[in-house]
Amino acid sequence: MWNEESDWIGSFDSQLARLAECRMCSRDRGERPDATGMDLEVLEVAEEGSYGRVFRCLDIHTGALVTMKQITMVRLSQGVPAPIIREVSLLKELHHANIVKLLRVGLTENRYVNLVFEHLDYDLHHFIVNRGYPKDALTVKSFMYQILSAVAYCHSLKVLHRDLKPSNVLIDHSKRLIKLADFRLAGEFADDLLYTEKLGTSWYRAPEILCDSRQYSTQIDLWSVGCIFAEMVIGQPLVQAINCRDELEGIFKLLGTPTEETWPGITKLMPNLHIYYPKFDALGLETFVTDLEPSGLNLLSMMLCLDPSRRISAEAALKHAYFIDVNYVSLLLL
Amino acid sequence: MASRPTVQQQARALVIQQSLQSKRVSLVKSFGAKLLATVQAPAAAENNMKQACANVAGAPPVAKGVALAKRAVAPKPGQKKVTVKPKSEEKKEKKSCSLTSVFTARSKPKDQILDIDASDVDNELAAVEYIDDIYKFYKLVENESHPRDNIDSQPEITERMRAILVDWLIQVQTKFELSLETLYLTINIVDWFLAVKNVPKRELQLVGISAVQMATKYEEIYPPQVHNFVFLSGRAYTHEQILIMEKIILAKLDWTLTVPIPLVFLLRFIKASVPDQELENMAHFLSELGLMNYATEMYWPSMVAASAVFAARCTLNKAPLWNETLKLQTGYSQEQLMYLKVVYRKYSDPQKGAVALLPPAKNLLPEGSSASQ
Repeated sequence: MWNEESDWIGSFDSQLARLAECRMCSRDRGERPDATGMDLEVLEVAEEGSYGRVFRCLDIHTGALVTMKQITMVRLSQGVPAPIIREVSLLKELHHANIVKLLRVGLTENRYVNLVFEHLDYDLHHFIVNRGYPKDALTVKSFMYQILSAVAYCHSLKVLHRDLKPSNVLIDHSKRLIKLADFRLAGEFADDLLYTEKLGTSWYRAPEILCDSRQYSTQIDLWSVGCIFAEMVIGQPLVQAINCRDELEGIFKLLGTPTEETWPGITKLMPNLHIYYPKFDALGLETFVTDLEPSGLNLLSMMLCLDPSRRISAEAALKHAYFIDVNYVSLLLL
Repeated sequence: MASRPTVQQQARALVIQQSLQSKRVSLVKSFGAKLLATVQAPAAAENNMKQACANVAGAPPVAKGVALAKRAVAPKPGQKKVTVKPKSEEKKEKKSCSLTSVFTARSKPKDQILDIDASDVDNELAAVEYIDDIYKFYKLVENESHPRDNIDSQPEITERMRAILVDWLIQVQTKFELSLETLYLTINIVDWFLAVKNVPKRELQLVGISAVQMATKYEEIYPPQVHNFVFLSGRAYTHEQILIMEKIILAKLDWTLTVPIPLVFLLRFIKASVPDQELENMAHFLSELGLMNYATEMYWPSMVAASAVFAARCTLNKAPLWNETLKLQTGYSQEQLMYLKVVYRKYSDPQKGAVALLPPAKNLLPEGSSASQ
């Protein structure tokens, strides 16, 4: 038996054969970061998440800083999990200046998938919190144009981001360059847990998701971009609620409780809408988002539209009058 | 009362012979095939096909890359075989449409071009506003993710072995009720892996098993569990071997599973054809049968898909055979699609409309070959 398997292993590359041998030994490497074969020097643990850990690393060959995201594989009896296969192969297809680049992927002997990304030193969340938000109107416009460019690119490839929020918008500070990051990976837990238990996650959720709609599409990302847009202008999240229900109520207070006229299909989606939510009249975005030029406010209202079918697309948003002077913006910032 | 066709009549399939050793220098030159019609029995037909292949391989290419039609040496005295020239020899060679010119064609008068997305405007999942970008991208990357013609470098694997594996994978798809996307992706993975890695003969099915497992994880909502595949292989391989092969394939393919399989083009081109159920089944049938033949894999997925739709329309006598909408959506003209393969398989049963029992597409037979029937 052993000899037979050894012979089988010998028919493949020696490196992969070693991979196979180690796999069959089932040796557990414990909690040390396992970057075997990745040619990386681990510098520090940057983040701990439920799906795995994030390390700051040095690429041994290039000397460049990189970010390694180590995802723990579950249900090893079924091999590489489906969500990882799906998401990694999609990530590999995203080639855009405003999307963080996946440099390479490695499978460790035991139970990790290592994703190596280019490193950026800053994200929009810290940018807003630490710098009192980008008061410069041209910076807001430049950031918005880059975010929408990346989103339009993803949507043209049938890829949804699904988790757009300021901490997933990375910034190359010296160049004022935006890169989207953290596409949903290895979602082994139910969506409900993610939305309700993790504080802040629901702040950027589109209303159709907060209503538990199972059918959603590209429009959910546009809602998130709208929330980010508003946050860059006013310096804080637009609606800060503890859970999905309260988040939805906050949205309705701001934009008005939807009716069959303002959101066709809402009574089917939420039959008990008027039992759980008071009937609010719209306060209007302009009362919350001051200091935004009229065309910007117009674009924002088209992104923060309750009815998904009427919400503006990323591609259409890029052509909006708000960006008419975007070339001038780019020249100024460079 | 119409009687069931005899074996001899069924053998009158139209077959296009393509030199298996020739490489495609350009899109146009890849049409250098010739038509062969035979009245022989199936076994003899197969033998003759081999002869014809060998003959084509030795034929000197003409300036345009189209091999001259030559009469193959008859394997037995008295047997008669008719060889005819492809129509392209009688026509001026046309340049293939560039991607730019295809989309420039949008400036044509609107009344000639059907808006095939009109009914999907309100369907959010159809992503109508992005659909042109999506297919533009697919066309750009389809060559990039195309397996290279490399099976001859395999020391132990032959095209026939691959065909047997593909046939088995189709049965697996049927048994587990897997999606068509899963089937096409599986075969893409297998062909890619065979292009970059020498595989021992006894491990070929293992490659197929691990490939279908990966494809189900990518495409299916509920992928079958590994023990199902162990059972399917008659326990020729262990649970552990399947998982190890999965990792090996992922590493070799560098996790590239987002590829434009022929199916993504097929669905779009069928839509452009304003199909009825019969046409739709026929097109799927022809595209799926193409999977069996390694030579088909050498064509771009979009061409395979367009050819399947064209052959289906010919077989069902749709008029016109090709129109401006189809030309625009597929990027191919009728002349580029005239060299096709029509064979019978899976769709013979009544559930699929018995499309395979329909007579071969007469429109594909040049004038001179009518005498052979």
